[in-house]
Amino acid sequence: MRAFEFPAFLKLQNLRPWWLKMAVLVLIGYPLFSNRPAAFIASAMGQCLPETLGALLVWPLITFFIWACCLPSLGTAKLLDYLAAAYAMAVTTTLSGAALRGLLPAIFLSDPVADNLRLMRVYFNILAVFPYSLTFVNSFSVSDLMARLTKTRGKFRGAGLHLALALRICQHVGEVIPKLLLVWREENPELLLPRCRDDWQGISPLARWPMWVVLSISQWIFACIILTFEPIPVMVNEIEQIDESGDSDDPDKV
Amino acid sequence: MNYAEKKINVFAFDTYEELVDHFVQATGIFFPKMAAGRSEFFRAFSQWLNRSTQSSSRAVITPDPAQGLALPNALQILTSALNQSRKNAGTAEASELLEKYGLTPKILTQPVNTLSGGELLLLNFAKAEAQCSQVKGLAACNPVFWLNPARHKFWLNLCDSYKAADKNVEALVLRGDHLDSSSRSDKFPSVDALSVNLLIDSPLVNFPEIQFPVFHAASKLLYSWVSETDEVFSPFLITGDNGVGKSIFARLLAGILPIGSGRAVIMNPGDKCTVRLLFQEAITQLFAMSPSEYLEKTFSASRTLFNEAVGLFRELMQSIYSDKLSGDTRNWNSLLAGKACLIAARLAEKPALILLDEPGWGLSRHDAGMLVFHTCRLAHQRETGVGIISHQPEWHDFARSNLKLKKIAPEQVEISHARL
Repeated sequence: MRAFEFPAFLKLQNLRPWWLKMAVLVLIGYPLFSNRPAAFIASAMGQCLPETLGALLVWPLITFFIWACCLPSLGTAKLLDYLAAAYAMAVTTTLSGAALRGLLPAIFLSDPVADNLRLMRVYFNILAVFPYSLTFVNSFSVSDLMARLTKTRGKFRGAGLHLALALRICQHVGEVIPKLLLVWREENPELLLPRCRDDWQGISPLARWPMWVVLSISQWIFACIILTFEPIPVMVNEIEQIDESGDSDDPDKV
Repeated sequence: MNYAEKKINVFAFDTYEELVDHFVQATGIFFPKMAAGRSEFFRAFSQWLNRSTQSSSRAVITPDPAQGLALPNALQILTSALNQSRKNAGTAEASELLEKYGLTPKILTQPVNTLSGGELLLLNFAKAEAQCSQVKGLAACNPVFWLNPARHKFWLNLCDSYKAADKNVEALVLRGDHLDSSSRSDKFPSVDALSVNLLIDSPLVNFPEIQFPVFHAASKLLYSWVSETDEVFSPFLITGDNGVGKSIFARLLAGILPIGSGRAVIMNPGDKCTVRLLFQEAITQLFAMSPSEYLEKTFSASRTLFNEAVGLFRELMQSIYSDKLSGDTRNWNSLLAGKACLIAARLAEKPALILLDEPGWGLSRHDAGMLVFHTCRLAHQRETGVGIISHQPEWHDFARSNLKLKKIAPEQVEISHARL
């Protein structure tokens, strides 16, 4: 059975020309780059709602808006996949942030309301930024850009090829994670618990799981970085080949 | 096949690391040795960043064929390669190239990281053909290793295309590969059979539709067991054509792919039912760590199993190297050591079955034979069965049962069992 599909015109990847796609994507993500939309919505809501409630509701609203814009492009299944990863990241960040605030009160602000609002904003920002950024980088086709550049001459060609490489590396991060997830599942079928856990070497029961989680997060970070970097030399070689083929083919290059 | 007659330069190496060194030297493309661990990776990568060498003017099939495919799907890879020669290529030209190399155009929009090893190699061939007019030659690492022997002709077709354009072809292989006919005579020692019960009751795997960034239709694969008995004898061999679904079957047995309906369960003496898997691209399973770092991390919550795994790792390495094993870190941080360590970690847990997907990839024929023989010896001592997924004909003499996978309909695979 086929999954429900949104109309093609709602899909950001289908927008042409590329600069219109870029403009629409930047417009959708504007509330994430600037505080102005949030401040505007909060002040508008402040007129009919209590001030703190307005500030509380503005970030969930912005997050829902961004999800709604990404949903037609991603489809339900993909959006839920991205949200699962985003929730894990948001919960880890806010919980560790809250724990640090409790443990090191001298470093952080003493206003608990402002602190809680800040943590809540971080939480919703992560939930919005994760699917938005993946939608953004995957909406552009590197091969289309490279095809266009093979027919281009002049100073923008080199810059364009560098941009193609950077875009492809960003896209590659999204491909590395499912590969590592498969490896992780084979290693730890329960995902959040180690497969072999019968002898914790005298570690206190309270510290066991957090220690394992910290160790696992560091492994994931290194593995993601290394596996993302791994194909870069081959990608660079391909880009250089395109660049050189253009140089040699066209004697009257600008 | 006499490759000298075809003017293909074949270079054979004893280890994967030597092959990678030669590839880097010949092409100027940096290729990391992932089993050496994180610090070595970053050191080599920063050296590459500060390099002064120019790009390679040759088409390449990298030591890990997946790394040479820098774009997300076959359509983008092939159109990009064709466009280098200003052909304004589209889906039709890309499909034509895929068909020329025995692949179905259905895989055009399939993410590259979900293709099987053989499909990856054939896609590399199609890409190299697309690049032929723009490059000065071809450097290919292990170009037929993952291919069913019936598909070796596609490699010869690619070589013919390059020869017709008067371009040089270099094949870098490991000692004992099909292209290195000089040392294929040695036989592997045999091991006693171990009985294992496989309960395969029409398991169905569903692959969901992909809508983003490129649409790819949903598909499914149904396996049917056509033998009268459930009993197979370890070590058993899983064979079949490229893309038939061998690796998917292995993942299904290992429980890392969800089964839509039916069941695929293993039972061996002692009622154990855990299945562990060594992937085709086993190096990824080290999670970018060296073998010793991997063992430390995997058993951070189980000292007893850590000691057991370290003991098994040392025993495997010493058995493979005989008396030639030194304390040299290059031996302990090699691809062979990486595979031995992954196997040791799995055997320490005493699973019902350990599946080795193309265990010989990246190893010379001798090393592959020794690794699998000693794995079977140690596994059978622990009442653990061993399954080998491979195209290499040498395993036929070694295995005790053969599970042959055959596509009988577009989404249906039949598994037949024969005692060897």
